[in-house]
Amino acid sequence: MNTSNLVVDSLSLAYTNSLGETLQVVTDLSFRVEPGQLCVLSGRSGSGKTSVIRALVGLLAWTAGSIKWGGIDLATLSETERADQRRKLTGYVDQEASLIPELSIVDNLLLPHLPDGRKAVLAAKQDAVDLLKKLGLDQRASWTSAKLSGGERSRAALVRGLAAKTGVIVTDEPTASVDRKWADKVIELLLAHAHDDGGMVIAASHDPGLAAVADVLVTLD
Amino acid sequence: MASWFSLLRLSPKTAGPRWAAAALVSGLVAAVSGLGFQVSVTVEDTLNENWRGLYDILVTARGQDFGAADAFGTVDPNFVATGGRYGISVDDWDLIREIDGVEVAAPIGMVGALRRTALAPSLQISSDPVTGISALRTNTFVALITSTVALTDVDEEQTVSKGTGRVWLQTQSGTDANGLPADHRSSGGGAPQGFSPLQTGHDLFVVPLGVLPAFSSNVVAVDPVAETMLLGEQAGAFLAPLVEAPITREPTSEWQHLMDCDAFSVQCAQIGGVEGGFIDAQSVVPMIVNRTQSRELTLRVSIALASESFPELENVDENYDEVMSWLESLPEASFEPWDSFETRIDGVLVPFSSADLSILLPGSVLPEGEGSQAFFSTAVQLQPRLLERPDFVAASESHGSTVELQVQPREVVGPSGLGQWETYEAGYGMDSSVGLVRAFHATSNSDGASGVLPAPIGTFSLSDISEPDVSEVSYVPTGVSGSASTWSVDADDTPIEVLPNLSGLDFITPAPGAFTDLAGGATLRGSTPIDAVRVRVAGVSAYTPEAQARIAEVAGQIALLGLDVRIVAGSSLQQVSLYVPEYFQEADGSWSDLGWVTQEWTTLGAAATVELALSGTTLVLAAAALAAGGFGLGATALINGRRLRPVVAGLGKIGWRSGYIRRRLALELLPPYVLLAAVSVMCWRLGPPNLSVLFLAAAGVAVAVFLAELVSGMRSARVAFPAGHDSGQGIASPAALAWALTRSRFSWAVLTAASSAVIAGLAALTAVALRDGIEQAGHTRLAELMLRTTQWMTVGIGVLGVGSAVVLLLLGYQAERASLANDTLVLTRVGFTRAVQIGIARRQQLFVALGCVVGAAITITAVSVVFGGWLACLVGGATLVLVIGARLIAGLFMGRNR
Repeated sequence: MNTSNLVVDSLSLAYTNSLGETLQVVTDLSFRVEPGQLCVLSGRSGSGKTSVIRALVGLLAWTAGSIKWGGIDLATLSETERADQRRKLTGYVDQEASLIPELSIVDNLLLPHLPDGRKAVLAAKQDAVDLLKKLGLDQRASWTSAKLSGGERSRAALVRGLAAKTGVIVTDEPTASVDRKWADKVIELLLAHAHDDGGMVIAASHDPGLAAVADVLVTLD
Repeated sequence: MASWFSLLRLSPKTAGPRWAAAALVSGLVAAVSGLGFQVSVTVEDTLNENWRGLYDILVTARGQDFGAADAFGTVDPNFVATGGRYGISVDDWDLIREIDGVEVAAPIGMVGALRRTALAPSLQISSDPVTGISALRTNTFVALITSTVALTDVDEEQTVSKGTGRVWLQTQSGTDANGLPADHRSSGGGAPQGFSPLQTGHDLFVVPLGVLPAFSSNVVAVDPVAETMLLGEQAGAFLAPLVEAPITREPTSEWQHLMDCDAFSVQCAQIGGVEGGFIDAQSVVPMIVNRTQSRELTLRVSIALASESFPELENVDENYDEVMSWLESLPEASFEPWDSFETRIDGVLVPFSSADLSILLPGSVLPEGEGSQAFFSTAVQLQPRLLERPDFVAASESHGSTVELQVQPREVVGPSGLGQWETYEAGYGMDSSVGLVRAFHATSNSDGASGVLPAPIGTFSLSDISEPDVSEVSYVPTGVSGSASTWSVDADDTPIEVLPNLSGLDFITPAPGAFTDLAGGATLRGSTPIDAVRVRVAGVSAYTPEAQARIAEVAGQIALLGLDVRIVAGSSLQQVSLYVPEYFQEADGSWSDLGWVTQEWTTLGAAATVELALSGTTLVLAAAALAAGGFGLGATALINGRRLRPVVAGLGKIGWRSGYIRRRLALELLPPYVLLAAVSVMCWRLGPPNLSVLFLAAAGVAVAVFLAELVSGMRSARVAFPAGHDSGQGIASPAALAWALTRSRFSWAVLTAASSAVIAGLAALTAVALRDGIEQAGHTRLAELMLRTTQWMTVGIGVLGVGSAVVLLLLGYQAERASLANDTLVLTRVGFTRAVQIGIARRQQLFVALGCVVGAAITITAVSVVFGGWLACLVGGATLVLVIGARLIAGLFMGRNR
């Protein structure tokens, strides 16, 4: 599995509102995550967890500090390189469980492989189906995502992240929309990805259960 | 609810398109109303200004068949030429004048012809009286002389007549058998007549060059007072001498006082001769003579000298027969061209004019005291020879114009009007089959009207007869002001005017050679000297139903007299194509066709036709435009309705009763549609009456679309997408993803394709309506003017409709943006690069565009099949390109910014 370490050094994030005022969200955040580790970003609502997650996958610009994946500063990458990195190295599972509602679940899961061609898609399909089964969605595989409940959509999005085989999974509130049973299953899969498969998981979460198993716990104020 | 808030704020992206669509369609309704009103006003104004010519009703004798012209609802410009077979009496004309409502009743009839005969040109040859040296520079002159009279017709020289003769002249001294000085002796012979030189004096020879054909000019009878009323004081002023002509028509010296005896010396002498008992004539026909020089006629003499000479003879008289035999035996090849010279003899074409038909051999000098020895005459025969209108039959081939006819030849004639079997015009008047396109009748004999003398008491030129206050659009030929405009085209499509044949026996009626009054007409033609009466109705001005009814009423009363009537008010000239066969004689004697020429004929009922066509076209275009707007508005409403469903569903979930939601939603949806309905009702009340039903329908559409959006919005949100496709056959490439996304949003794709089809179909229908409108309006001058003045309005209506539909389609596209934005979000988070995303978006647009092409192609094909013509395909196709282009640009642009 293609995994490299993550070094976040003195990261600061800020937003500018419509009045031109700057709102500092994260200040001087530093942490490091190695392959085989599960890192949890915790903190109160509005503490900047999602912002940090989005910055880690190159979807949000930061105001100071650096993010280095395998020693490569994310800031030096072009937009296209960041997109490629998201698809091949740092799979991103967002809080909204973004799926294309008109596509079937399986098709949504296989989206990351489309640019690699038909062979890659077919190769990834069986793993995706297996993961769906692990998260209880195998009966929904051919459904369009519009028919899924919120929890099911959340689980489906996580499966897409896992099925992407990116080595690193960056996920935002992976257990927020699911009940305890499925939250535990999600945690189990994330741990397996980190510990058993040598991958890396970085998750923003309120879930104490997830925080409890974290190898690296970063708390945001 | 504790406080008011807008439901639509929960779905903010629907309000903008709704207001924009309603405002757009309201503007469309108002614009269509305005343009329709403008068309209506323009049509009315143009008709009021151009619907009447100088007269309103053309009255002809019953049974006078206009043949092919009638079949096309036209009157050909030869309506004065009836060959005398039909006629209206002066009594009938009086009855017409007495009908209530008749302002002017102006009679006109062709009553005879002025013919100039015995026109004999000559070649004068003299020796120099001082040196005694012959101008021929030779003692013996043996020549082949060719005399040709020619004119230019359709840009080519045409031979009117041609004669050749052989001439032998010899210088000798002494006296001849008669004791006359014999410096020169002469003899001659040869075909056709043998140019036999005459020695007219001591040192002058005159070689007659044969006799020219007789040239004729038509005499037209009018009532000078009525004609002046018809033409106006200024244009009719040339007829004043006729008004003042003596009632008695006895040939007395009083006529000589009325004539310019310097200009018309022969005619003065003739009348004087009657009074003196030298000439037998009982009656005088006064006339105003046309002095217009209409054509250029050239007399050309070519001389070829014999290459061998006859031995000089001491006594010519004794050897005359021998000389003639020798002369006639000379082969034509033995003559070598020597000289050629020409002179203009146009004057022979002008009635009563003198024309010098003599040519002096270059180098000759007229002896002192010798005058021109031309054989010409200003004497004119006044013949009761009447032209008959030409025959036309259906053209054997198509020329691409609306009215196509072929002139029916009765007998081939050349530019002189001579039949090909005739050498001279002597047979004229004896055989009614002679003439290219028209027969004529001689009511008595061909030698002239017995006992009748012409009295030219005035002159005019065609430029004097400028018909005032008549626009070219409403112009109706009067029969007095010249020949019908006729033109051909050369190889470069440059128009060439075709002038009337010299004989008048042609498809173009020549301008009158002289006018006489009805009494003069009766003298020549008998009791029915009138071919047509042109009637102007009193108390008529604007083009109103009342005015038309009044004219119809007067026409009906005239018809009760047993006469044929044709209402020419509201008519206009139209170009017709005529095929003229066998017109030119080639050098080898064969005849070639003149080919297609264009002439303008009066098309009856042009005003009503144009009005109906434009009204119909405007109605169809307006209907198409409003239908396009209505369709777009409806599509936008349905899209918006679907987007309201989640809002409605959400409010239901928090406890809002559906009745309350419906009322609130209706209240908030209503304003844009109230705007549209109000504008429509206003246009219904104030707009053009012929479109009122459309505006009423537009108001109905506003209500219907409002209800449709309300009902659509209130429907419970269904699961938008049923079970998806089997992933086993799933998406394995960006192209497949694009197709899957397009297919999964089938309703949008179908709506877009349907909209394209409707828009393209409406554009095609608009083109068809315009085409049909132009066809139905006809090809008259009036139609051309009306179409020219209203075209920007009618086309504007069509463009407004199609343009509005395109804009509405783009507004509907806004709804698609939400889906596209979600696609972008997901694909970006998954890690699709921007390039890949754009590729997918482009493919989506391509698939939709293909749907548009298919939908529109079906519609355009259907329109083309049903209504026919490539125009629909062309315009529909062009619109399709526009729609697809706009759709693609919108898709890509909006896709880039999602």
